[in-house]
Amino acid sequence: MNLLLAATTAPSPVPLQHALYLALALFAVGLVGVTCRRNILIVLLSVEIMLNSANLALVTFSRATGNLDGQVFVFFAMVVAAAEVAVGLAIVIAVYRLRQSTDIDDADELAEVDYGPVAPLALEGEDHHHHDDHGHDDHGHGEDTEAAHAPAPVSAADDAGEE
Amino acid sequence: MTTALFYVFGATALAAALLAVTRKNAVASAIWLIVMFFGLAANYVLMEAWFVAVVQVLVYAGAIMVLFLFVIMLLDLRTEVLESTAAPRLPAVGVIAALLFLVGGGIAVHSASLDPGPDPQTGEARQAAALFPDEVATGPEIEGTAENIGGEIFGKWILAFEVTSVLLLGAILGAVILTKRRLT
Repeated sequence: MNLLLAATTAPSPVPLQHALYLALALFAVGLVGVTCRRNILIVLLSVEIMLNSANLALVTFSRATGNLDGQVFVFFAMVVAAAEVAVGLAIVIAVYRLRQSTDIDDADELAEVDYGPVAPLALEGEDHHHHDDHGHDDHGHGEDTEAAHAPAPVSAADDAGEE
Repeated sequence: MTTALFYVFGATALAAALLAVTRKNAVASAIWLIVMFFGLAANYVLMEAWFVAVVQVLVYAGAIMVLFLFVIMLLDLRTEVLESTAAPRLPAVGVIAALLFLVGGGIAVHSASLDPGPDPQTGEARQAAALFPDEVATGPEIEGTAENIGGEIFGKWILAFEVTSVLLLGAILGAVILTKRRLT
């Protein structure tokens, strides 16, 4: 409000109420995308549309009240959106590796017995005893050499692509 | 002129958003979403939010969409896969939810006003002002320049800014761990 007192007033060049209607419409479009689309990538894109409509509303309110806090909040919202996209796309890749699909209805169960051709994420130690029985040549050379031979279901090409 | 430009860019953004949601191919969706980001960035410029407009182009149209396109092309979906995920799921639910949201939000925006609260000196209630006044404050103090926004972020909101760095670190670790096949 101190900022508002220091500044002069002028006719608003942008119809602010219509800007808020635009934000509403964009959010509705994003809502339809999230609820109706099957492709998980387009669902994530629709979430971005909804986040952008919220940003537009924040900037509009910032302009209407003469207060910069709304624009600072948009900055933070963009940072959170970037983090959300990074984690969300990592989940998409993990789900695709597990189910070979981007259809969100294929990922409606928390656990599934058949993991397909690729092994799920394995923690250290899970595979060790399982593979002890196969008897590698370098059995007595210690833990680290054994671990290097452990990943049976993951092909060499996949490993190279990952690292 | 500015008002006309606002309608042009607003209509562009809305049309691009509609196209992005309805495209069969995720790459086409992503490209239309970039158009929407630019339309919104232009509207931010018209509202004198310069910093937000630049960050919108850099972060959204730049970094985030590159990440999206990279993942879309990494998955490399075949045409038959795209066909199988093209049909809408629960279209009635989505459209009804969107219409309800539009009606409710439209009523809220249509009747919105700004309650200034009681006067700090006298304690008397003040009359509510229009939230969307014909006259808005202007001046170098409240323009969304990098200088003004930076002053706010590194002054009033410094704690939130520092917490943001922890959030980004968590996101980096989460993304790396999620996409690794083995943690050893």
